[in-house]
Amino acid sequence: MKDPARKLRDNLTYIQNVLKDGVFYTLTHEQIENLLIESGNLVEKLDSITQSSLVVGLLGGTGVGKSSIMNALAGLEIAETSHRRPHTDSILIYRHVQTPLPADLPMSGIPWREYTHAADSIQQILLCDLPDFDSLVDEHRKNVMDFLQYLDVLVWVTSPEKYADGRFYEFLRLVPKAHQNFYFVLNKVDILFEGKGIDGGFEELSKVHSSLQKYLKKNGVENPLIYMLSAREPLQKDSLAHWNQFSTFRYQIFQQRKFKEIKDIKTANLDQEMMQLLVSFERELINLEVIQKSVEHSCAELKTDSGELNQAFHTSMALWMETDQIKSEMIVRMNNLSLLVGPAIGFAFLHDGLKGLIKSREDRDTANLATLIEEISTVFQRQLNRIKNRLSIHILRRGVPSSVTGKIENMVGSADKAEDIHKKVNNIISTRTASHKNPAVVFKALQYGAYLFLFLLLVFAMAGEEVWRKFFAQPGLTTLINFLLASLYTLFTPRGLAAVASYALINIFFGYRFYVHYRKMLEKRAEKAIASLQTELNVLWEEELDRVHDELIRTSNELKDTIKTLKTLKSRS
Amino acid sequence: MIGYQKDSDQDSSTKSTGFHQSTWEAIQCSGLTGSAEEITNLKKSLQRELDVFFYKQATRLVWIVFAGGTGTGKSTLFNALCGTDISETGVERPKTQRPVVYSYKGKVISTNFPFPDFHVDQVHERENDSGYQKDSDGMYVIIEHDREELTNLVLVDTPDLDSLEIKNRQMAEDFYLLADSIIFVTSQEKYADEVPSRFFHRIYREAKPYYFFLNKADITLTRNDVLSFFEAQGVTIVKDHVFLIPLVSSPAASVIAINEEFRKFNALFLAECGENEFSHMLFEGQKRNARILADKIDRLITMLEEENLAGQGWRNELDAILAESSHNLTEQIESHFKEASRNHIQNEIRNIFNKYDLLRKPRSFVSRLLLAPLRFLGLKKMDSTESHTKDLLTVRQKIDITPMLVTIEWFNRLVLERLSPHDSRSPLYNKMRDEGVGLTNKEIRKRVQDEQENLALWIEETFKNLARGIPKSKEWGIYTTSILWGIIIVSFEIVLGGGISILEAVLDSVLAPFVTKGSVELFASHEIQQIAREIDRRYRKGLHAILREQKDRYESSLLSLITPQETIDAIGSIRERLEG
Repeated sequence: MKDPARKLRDNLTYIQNVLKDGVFYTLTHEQIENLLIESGNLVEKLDSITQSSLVVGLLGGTGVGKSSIMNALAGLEIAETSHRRPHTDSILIYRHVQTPLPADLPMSGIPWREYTHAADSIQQILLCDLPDFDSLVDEHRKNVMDFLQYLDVLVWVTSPEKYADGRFYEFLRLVPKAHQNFYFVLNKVDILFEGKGIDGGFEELSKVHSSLQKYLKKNGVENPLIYMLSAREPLQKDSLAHWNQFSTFRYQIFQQRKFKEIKDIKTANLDQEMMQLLVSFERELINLEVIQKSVEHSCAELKTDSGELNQAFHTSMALWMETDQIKSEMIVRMNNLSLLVGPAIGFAFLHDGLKGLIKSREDRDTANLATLIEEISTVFQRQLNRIKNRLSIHILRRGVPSSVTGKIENMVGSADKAEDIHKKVNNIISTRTASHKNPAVVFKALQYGAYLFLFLLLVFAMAGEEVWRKFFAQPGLTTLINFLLASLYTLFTPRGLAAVASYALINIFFGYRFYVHYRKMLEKRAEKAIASLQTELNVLWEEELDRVHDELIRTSNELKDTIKTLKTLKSRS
Repeated sequence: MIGYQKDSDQDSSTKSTGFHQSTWEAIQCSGLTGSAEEITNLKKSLQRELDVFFYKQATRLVWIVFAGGTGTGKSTLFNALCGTDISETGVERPKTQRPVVYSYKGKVISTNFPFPDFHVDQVHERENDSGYQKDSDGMYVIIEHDREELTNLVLVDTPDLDSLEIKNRQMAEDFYLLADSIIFVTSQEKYADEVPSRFFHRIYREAKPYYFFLNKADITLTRNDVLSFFEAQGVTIVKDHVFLIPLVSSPAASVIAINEEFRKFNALFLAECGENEFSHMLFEGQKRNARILADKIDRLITMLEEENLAGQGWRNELDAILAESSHNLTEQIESHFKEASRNHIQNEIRNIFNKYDLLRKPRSFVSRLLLAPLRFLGLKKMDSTESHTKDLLTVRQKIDITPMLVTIEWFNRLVLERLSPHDSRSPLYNKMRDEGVGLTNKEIRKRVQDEQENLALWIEETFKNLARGIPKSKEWGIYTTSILWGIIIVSFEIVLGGGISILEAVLDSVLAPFVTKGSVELFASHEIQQIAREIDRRYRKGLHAILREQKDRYESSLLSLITPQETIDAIGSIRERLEG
């Protein structure tokens, strides 16, 4: 078996670690500080168990004869007894001259007086007579409560009249001391023998004894040590009646104890005090369990509703993405005139210029994309807020103090997410537009080819059939020069002019077709870009949702850990 | 054992009080004032005390009740007074487990007995064997006698009032209510004990006649010791009503009966409570009880009124939250169409106008001619016409109900955060968290859909009416039905998105150039504006109605915990009956 003192020390260290490392929700900072201080005090008290004296206190209601027992134990009238109620109002300490008082007693403000003796055999014991705890004088009760901290062994005194009083048991439950350090004394049992004879008296005695035992058991004291005695007898007579257990009681109190025994007694009390500390954790434990359940519930809800949430995001986003404005904005961004050759460029300029004329200045607002980014991050934020809200409602519905909700919401995500989204959206847009600036070589070659073909057609047409036939019959420098000269010559004839005019018209027509093709290409690309932007934003949202989900799981696990720790704490003690 | 057992738990709704049970049941409390517990307790005790009051009025008997701490010797003194050992005495504590009633034969006590949870054993003194005191809970014993001097008196020995048996305390309390006079018994050991002393303080405070017994008194203890102790607590005991009885050994009752002090008491008792005095005592007692009851009723009414006032405050707060959430909702749906998105809307509307402008028909003829080659080249597409219903459907599919869901969630949260009582035991706390108080997403969705459905129907109807009213001569130009439809659809779309202010501004700016040309009527701008506004009004109303429904659910959960004014008035009327 482990040494109880060591076990207590371990437990206290454990508590302190829990307090330092645990994540708490409803325990305030001050409460944690206080608990740390209190547990520290307990450790200190545990360390200071070196002196081998024991403080024994007599507790009981008014009139049960605590002072008489005090006198009987001391063997002389040190405490005043009286028929007046309530009598004792200060604490009387009976001690050996060399046994020190509890160090901080003089400063505690509790009224006390003392009687010193020189009986070495009971040097270990500091005997204290306490005021009552059941009279109308509240101050007595308070003094008793304040003095409890000094007591190691508690002698609970009652009488045949008072042993069923509710107050006695109320107070018994209130006192944070180890039950193993309790003794119970039923005083004034001589009354039971009056006019009854020995047999009748014993019968009464056993009835009272079993009732008392039953009540004590009902109030949590499993195996009470009960002494039935009359304290009046040893003071008045030399020999005790044989039903009087006073001498056994006296022996029990004054026996010589080894240091280890004393240490065990004190440790047991400290252990009880530690249990009191643990009570503070109970509320927290309940709250934590509720919060954990709420978080878990929210997690599950997030999973089941993810489709709906994604859809909601998608709808909100589409409202902004699928507009002509964004499309034309994209087209403007992707416009790359270097792709066009010849007259098509002219058409492009013409189109842009016309557009500029038709549309008002407002429409040329280039802030469109910035607005889009802003709107989308708002959509993100709104959806996140919604998740937070739901979580808070779960927690509030289950009745956790509303102060907690803020703490939990912070876990889901904070406002600076907007900045992140901003960046991400910007990134996506810039990579998308950049990737479409790659020159389409084929398109350009096609244009060059077409224009070259037209030009050749013109040249051949102007040179005349004879000349190009000759040129093909005898390809050579001379024929080539002839051919070119013939074309040049024809240029200034009416036929030539007609050919050039037709050439120009056809060129323009080609240019227009190419331009239209180019526009269509741009449009397609813009649509593609928007579509992929949407997909990527959806992915981004889903990632965000996953992140929140993970965050919640993490929180839930963290809570589980703390709950487990607190439960271990409970089971340890 | 001869006698009868009678279940006195009879029809409790029509007690002699004439005060209907439902009135008591109508007393509710929300716990907003923190006096929920007091109200519940007071309600219970008032109910009981009123029963006692009317019972006493009906039976006209004087009740003398022995009360005191456990082990003080109540039963011994009771036996001494009755002259026989009818209440068991002994060292087990608490000894007396149920009240023992000593009354004149033939007096009917158990009819309408005000504590319905008690059963009764009635037995005649001479037939009494000591077997009656069995351990059965919720019983009291009536012992009948034929002593003429006690004809109208009922003597009761009660269980203790300070032991760990809580139910004993309750019984003592019950019989205290019945008592016209209390024989308070304490002892040398107990007279300073808090619990019994507080009980005596109550007797003193409520001015019930009493006899004070200090039993088992030490020889050295004097009457003055006791008097001065109570004097220090502010309680002045009538000196000749204090009796000090020394500790005696068995048979205690008979020894006490011949004690000087006790005989003094006996004489005084018969003189004060005997035949001649009884009706006076009864009268005084009922007067006193009526006063106490009236005070309690006043207190109850005050608390209920405070509760109702707090409820009003709560409802105001709820209204404030509703207003805040409504504002929030408006803001949220409007944020869909921020100022920055104005261009977008303006373009959409202008598109419609551009397509259907004044010279639409001639221009389209010209353009069809001119653009024929272009179309041939695949440049210009033919206008596609969609059916009206399809338009509406498309718009509705585009609508995002998230703002509505978010707002309701936000509202729920605010209510729980700000309006929930902190104490989890308070009735409102639980009521607010009941299943079915919060609208579910499904419910919200359904309601939004219904709203839109209604709105769509309304739009179609309005449009038909409008189209019918257009004169043939103006059927071209702006009045073409398609442009009207186009405008309405856009309005609908924008309104569902929440942008009425933007819509108005945009409509103004688009219509303005046409309007200044002096053809206001021609452009139907009034109609368009009006329709847009009406769509907006209706839609908003619909959305806010959903929010309001959520609010009403909370409100009704409070209202179910509010005591109606009629009930408060009914309680007030009992007070008048008591005085009358």
